[in-house]
Order: sequence, then C-alpha cells, then structure tokens
Amino acid sequence: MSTDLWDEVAAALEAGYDDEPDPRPAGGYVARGRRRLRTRRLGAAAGGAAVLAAVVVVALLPQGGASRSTPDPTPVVEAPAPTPSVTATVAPPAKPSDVLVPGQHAGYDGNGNVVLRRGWRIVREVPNPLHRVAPEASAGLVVTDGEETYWYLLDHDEVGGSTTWDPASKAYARFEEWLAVMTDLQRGTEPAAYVAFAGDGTVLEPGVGVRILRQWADPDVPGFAAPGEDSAAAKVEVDGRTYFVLARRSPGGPTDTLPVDASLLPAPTYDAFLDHAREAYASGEGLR
Amino acid sequence: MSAREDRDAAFTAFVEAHQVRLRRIAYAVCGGEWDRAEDVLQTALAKLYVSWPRLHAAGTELAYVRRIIVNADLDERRRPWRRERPGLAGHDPAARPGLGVAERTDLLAAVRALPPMQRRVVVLRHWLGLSVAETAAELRIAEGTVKSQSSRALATLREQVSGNRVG
Repeated sequence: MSTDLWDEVAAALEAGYDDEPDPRPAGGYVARGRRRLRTRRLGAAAGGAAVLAAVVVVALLPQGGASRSTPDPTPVVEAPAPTPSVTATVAPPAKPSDVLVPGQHAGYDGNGNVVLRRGWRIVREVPNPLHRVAPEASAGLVVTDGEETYWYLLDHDEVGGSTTWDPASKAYARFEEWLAVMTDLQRGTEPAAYVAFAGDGTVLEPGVGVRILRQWADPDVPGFAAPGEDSAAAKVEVDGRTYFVLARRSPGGPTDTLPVDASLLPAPTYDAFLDHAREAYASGEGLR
Repeated sequence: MSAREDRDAAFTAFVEAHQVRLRRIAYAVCGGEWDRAEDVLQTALAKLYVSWPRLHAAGTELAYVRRIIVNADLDERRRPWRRERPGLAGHDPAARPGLGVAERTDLLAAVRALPPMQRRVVVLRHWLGLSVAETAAELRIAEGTVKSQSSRALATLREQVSGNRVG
C-alpha cells in the first residue's frame, strides 16, 4: 500500500500542473546570473538607508567634482584610465532611482559618471581595474560617510553598468586584496587560491607564496559543502598576514576556497573562524 | 567563441533542459506558490551561473541547483516573518493517465498540506528518489528524522487519500 501511494505521489508530482506558468526565456536567467556574478552585494541590505537622498554626480574625469578624492597613486593594475565619452560630459545627471538602489552609496550612471549618495565621499580611488576602454569604464573606490566605509568596484560596459560592494574589512583587511579578488570574479576567472586539494586526496597544499600553518579536515560548517564534496579548512600565512580558509571540491572539480583575514575575527583562532563561517552560512549570506 | 559566450551557451542549454522540472520542485517544496517557486528558482540559477565553471566541470549542476532550491526555501521559511500560506487558489492539477483528475487533485493537495519538512522529505525521497542518507544530508537532518518524517507523511497522506476516496 505504502509503495503504491508513494508511486502515485511521485507520478502526480512528475506530471506537473495544467496551469503552471510558461517557462521563461533562458536569457533572463543568464542576465540575472551575470548580474549576480558582477554584483556581489554582500551585506547590502544592512546599509539600511533605504530612503533615497539626493546624490552628487561626479564626472569620471581627472578634473572631476569637488567631493572626489585624488586618484590612488599606486593603482592595483597598470592600465590607462578610461576616456569618458563626450556625452558623459554633457549629459544631464541621471535620476537617483535609476542609479542607486537602497543600500548602495556609489555607482555609474548610464553615461559613465560616478554617482554618490549625498553625505558620502570618495576617500580612495583605483582607476580602471577592469581595463575598460572608453566609453566603457571601471573604478575601485573606498567611500565613507564618516561613520561607515564601503569598498566598491564599479563597472560600466556595453551591456550596462554593474556594481560590487562590501562593507570595508568584511573578509579582507586590505582594500587591494578585496579589489583584486572582485576584479578576478568580474572577469569570470577564479581568484588565485591560497590552498588547493593535492591530487585526488583531501589534504590541502599551499598556493604560490602561501604557507600552511595548520589544516583541518571536514570543518563543521553547515551549508558550506554539498554531500559528496571534499571539504577542509586551513590556517595560512600570506605576505606576513594570517588567514583562515575554507576549501571545498566537487567530485572531479577544482578547489573552491573562501579566505577570511584572521585579524578580522573576534580572536585569531580556528574556533572563532568556525563561528564566523557558521554564522555567515546560517544567515544565507555565505563567506563570498 | 569567448569564455563568457561558452559559459552562457552551456548555461542556457542547461536552463532550457531543466527549468520546468526544477520549478516544479521549487513549487512542491514551497507548498504551492508559483511566484515563490519562481523566486527560488531564479536565486538558485543565479548562484549556479556564478559557480558554473566549477560545477559544470564536475557534472554536479543539477544536484547543486536542487540543493539550493531546497535550502533557499528552508532558509526563507526560518525567518520569523515568513508565514505558511495555503495552496494556490484556483490551481487545478492536470489529469494524468492512470489516476483520475479528482484523485490526483486530492493527492497533490494532501502533499501540499503536509508540514514543510515532511513535504521536502516526500519530494526528495519519494519523488526524486534520493536515499535516506542523501535526503538527510540534503536537508541537514538526521537519517532517523528522514524516516520519521516520511512515516508521518505517509500516515497523513494515506488517511487523507483514503478518506477522500471513500467519501
């Protein structure tokens, strides 16, 4: 009887429904995936300032607006700054609601101008980390309202702008590290990993310039690794800094790693790292 | 073809091949809300796109999306403001050969009325054919819990279905 009933249930579910909505065009899912890839708005909602204020529009030009900082003299990448299009210099400012979503403090408008929410200012800028060629543009920014500070990667390309931002020092202690990782992700390439599983085994080996101080198998972080995936954690040293890293690998796949700077944890211990990771996954946000 | 075009082409083929069934899974675990099912599916596919190179290389795309769908809905429902809603009004399941329309409607309604965890166990264990261990891992619960939830679901379904068929 039970088998029959389960068979009936399975058959009923499998058959689907008369009036289920038509499948959506796959292109919509692709576009959403691209946006997610580009716009890892971790902790965006925590910004809280949902009421849109007036914004200051700052042209992405060397002689830009007064609230703009001096460009960083040591850019992360060696690339010429973009040359904004003519229209960028004469186009009227975009509507705030067209550019900044609640919780966002900086972004490009459709003409490649940097738009800032009122009360926020740029305190550091890395020009064109994505090597965009005018009229496309990109910028790495550190913005603050005097109380909170956020790190931004702005991208303005032929398919529209995108913005990635994080609260400063969320997982990386230095802006340069965060920007390098976000730039890699934006380009669709995996960031250089601190560790990787050696061969087919479950032991981690260090990446170039990395020293593994200690490693643990199967860290207890619900939601991090799927059933059947390998997982491990490591404490590593890179350029004099200490990180904890979660690593996972699907069968036959490459190692995926998520590092957290130990100095950002309540204590530089494995237990504190696990607590941090569990909290991040329990919230649904994850560590990325 | 660029790397991005390759990625998009492969991802598009995956979506076109699986989106209908994946949305049905989302609908089933969500308890009969098409809008909610679509939201969950979109979230899962967006996450899949981000991790596409790794998962596609490993051939684990489908399992990954299924896990995201189930967990996304679980996470959502753990929020205190989230309230369970009854099935979609005016929704009439289609007829299926071998099972009358009325019987099938009753059966799906009975599944939809199950408590969320029992519903997920039914979907994963008895529709998608996962083992007890796999279901437990997917839902992050003990294997014993899978068995007990399955048993309770069966009792409820049997009672409801037999009542409807007798009545």
